[in-house]
Amino acid sequence: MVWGLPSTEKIHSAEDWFILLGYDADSSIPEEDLNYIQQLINTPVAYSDVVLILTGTSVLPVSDLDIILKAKNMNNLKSNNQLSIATQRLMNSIRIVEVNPLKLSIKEKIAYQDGIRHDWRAIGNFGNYDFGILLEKDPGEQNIFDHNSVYLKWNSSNMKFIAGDHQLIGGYGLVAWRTTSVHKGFETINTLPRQGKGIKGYRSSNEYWNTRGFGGEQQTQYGKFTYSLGRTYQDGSLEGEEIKLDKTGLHITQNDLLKQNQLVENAATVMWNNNYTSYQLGVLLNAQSVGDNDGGNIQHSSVSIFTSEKQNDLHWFGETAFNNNLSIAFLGGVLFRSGTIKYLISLRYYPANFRTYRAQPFSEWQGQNEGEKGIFQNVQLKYVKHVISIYSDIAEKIDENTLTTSNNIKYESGIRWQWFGKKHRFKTQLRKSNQLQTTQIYFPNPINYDIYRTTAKGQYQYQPTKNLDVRWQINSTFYNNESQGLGIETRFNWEIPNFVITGSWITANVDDYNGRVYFWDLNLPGEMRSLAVSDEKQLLGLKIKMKSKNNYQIYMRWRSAWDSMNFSGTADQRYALAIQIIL
Amino acid sequence: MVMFSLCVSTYLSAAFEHYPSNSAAVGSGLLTVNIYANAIGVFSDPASVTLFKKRNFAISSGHRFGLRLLQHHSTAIAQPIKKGFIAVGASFFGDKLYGETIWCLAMGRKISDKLNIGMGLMVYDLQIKNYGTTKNLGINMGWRMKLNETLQWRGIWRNINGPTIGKSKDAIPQIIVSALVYNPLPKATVVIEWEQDTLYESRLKFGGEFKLLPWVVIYTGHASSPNQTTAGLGIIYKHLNINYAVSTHSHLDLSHWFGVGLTIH
Repeated sequence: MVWGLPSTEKIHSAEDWFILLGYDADSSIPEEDLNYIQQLINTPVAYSDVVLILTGTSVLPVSDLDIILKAKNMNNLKSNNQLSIATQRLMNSIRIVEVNPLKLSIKEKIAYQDGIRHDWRAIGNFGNYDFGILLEKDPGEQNIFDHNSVYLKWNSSNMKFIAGDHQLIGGYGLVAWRTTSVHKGFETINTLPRQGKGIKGYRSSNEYWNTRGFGGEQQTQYGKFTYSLGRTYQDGSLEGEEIKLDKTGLHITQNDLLKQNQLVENAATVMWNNNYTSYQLGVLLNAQSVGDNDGGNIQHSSVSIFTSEKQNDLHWFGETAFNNNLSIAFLGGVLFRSGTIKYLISLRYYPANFRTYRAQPFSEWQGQNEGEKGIFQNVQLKYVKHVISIYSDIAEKIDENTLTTSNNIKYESGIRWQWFGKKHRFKTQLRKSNQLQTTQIYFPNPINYDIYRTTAKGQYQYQPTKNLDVRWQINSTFYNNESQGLGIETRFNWEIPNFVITGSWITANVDDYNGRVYFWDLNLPGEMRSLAVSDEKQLLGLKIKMKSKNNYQIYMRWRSAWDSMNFSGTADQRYALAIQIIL
Repeated sequence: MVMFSLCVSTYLSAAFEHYPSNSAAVGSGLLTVNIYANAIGVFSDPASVTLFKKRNFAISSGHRFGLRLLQHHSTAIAQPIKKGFIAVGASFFGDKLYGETIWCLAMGRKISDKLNIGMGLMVYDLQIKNYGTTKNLGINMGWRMKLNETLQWRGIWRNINGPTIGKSKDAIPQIIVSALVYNPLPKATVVIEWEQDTLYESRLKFGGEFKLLPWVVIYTGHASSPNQTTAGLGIIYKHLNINYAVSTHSHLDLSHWFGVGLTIH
């Protein structure tokens, strides 16, 4: 017995699911995936749409995806105990209908924290058309729809066409992939081998990542051709030969406004990919021209070749890209899968100043001029109710492309054990990262790391009844010998007719920012926010979800934060309200 | 001097801050959503034009804080047409020295049993004696969504095109409104409304109406930032609806509103 019987347990929210997948509060989650999972949980869907949505998400394990693509119906999936626990519980939470009833889904969110953030979204379909609208205003912004995004997509059996804000997603991130880069962690084994799935409507509140224009996809006997043509205004400036993008999305101060829409990007991207018997091959080409109001212009072009291949229990994947500076970058790896164990090893090399169209690959450093090389390994072992995950990564930043010195070497590793019972769930983990902040002469000199950081986490979840679960979590951080932090959270979910009530109490004693501890916030639909606590703090929070049989949900969130352990002083108050309606 | 002090202490720092109001909405907590099917309400809530199954004519007049300088007179007519609903209206604010006129054309459509949407085209006309006049166009949008038999969700976006006025390009206020309208009893309506002018703090408004007798309606409500408590009384006589409302202010005098509505068969 390896995986146990298929679970019949469900998840309450998208937030639950990402936690179950193994995401920690300090990891970033692609907003697109969050929206998709939210849609699956809250909206009745046709089985064909379940497959379509799940293949579009980037966080689902490759092994689960293979099972989903081979399954004939939902019952096949629900009874498949080879699926991961997170995917099994997601399947149990999806309501299947014969025909997709979704015509229009509208969501409005109003959140108060140092001002009002307003977010209004709609997705819908009619006939062969899908559409999406996103309107957003950050605190302090004067424009009612400071960030706005609209798309209309036409689908047929072998062709798609999209007008408006979109993304062409292909390969493994060296040229055109992801709204959020993959970070190292216990769940990286699921996401890193996933490949981009082509043309998509843009539904993210990231204000700098879309392409505005039109695109399409055509399936032919020679493979699939995907194209995108865009003219997109971006915030930032041209400085010499460098494009300085302002990625905050905030337009409040005079300085912000001076950068707003100052750059115009014209871009053309074409991708070809084809599935052969045991492998897949693709080529992606992009040409990009970015100009400013002073007549400045910078042009880039890039090409990438990507592939994946299945050989029994092995799944090989890789992408090589080069740009017009003839810099070459590489990301590749292999995933081994058997009944009990999964093992991933991946190598990467990105030279300094390697810039392409929408590069955001798996990396340690995110700066646009910073390159790196590294080796990542991840193991996941499942035995009955136990799941053990181990990962390690060693990376070196490349500021200048020389071979004689070692720069900012970072070594990170972690081990996690989880136990899933019917009423009890345990999780404990330890992560260590050592980082060199200076430059040293290479081997044989030992590396004298400047930063030692250790984080430990323990969690126990108890579900006494079907409608109540309580969770206790303890997080600690040790940073060099200088600072440390300790935080404890008690959280409950209580489901009563028409309402779900979630409460959270976090108490933390942290020396300074370096000793910070992370907890998940009480998240509303479409959110996956975390709280970084970096001093003495008491936080109380309450979330109420009102659900009805008429396909609407109303959410309210309140959180108070005191800067002391004894609740003294004035608490910082934060509120949020959200309404979601499906017509 | 009075004008200056008001500019500092109340919402008068830009033109067209004051939108036409009807007495019932003022009495129910200065609501922006038009829950009582008063034709004046289509200025601020274009989706409410879909409430008018019959022709409705309304006039409204108010003195903010008891000041003649801040007098506001409005009139509108709304009715169903073949493929939807339409309303036109005009509003005059100020006096001979400083005046704001708003012309409104609102159109609405029922999309489904649950969803109605509306759009308003507004012409903003500013007149200042010895300085001349200037105009611009604003677009308002709104929706009215039935969640169940007793609950509705209303939303409004005002001036989504970001209009400005004058040579100095002063922004005309952009406002987002979201409201839940609840009918706990056939005779009672309760509203909670959030209003966000993009330049100022949010206003949270609570209010409602209660039909005391078949011909008498009472209104009451409260709005925050600044705190204003409101009350009103409505008399219904056949197709005629007469309303009076009053609102308080923590520093300024009372504001009085009077309105008449007529449903024409």
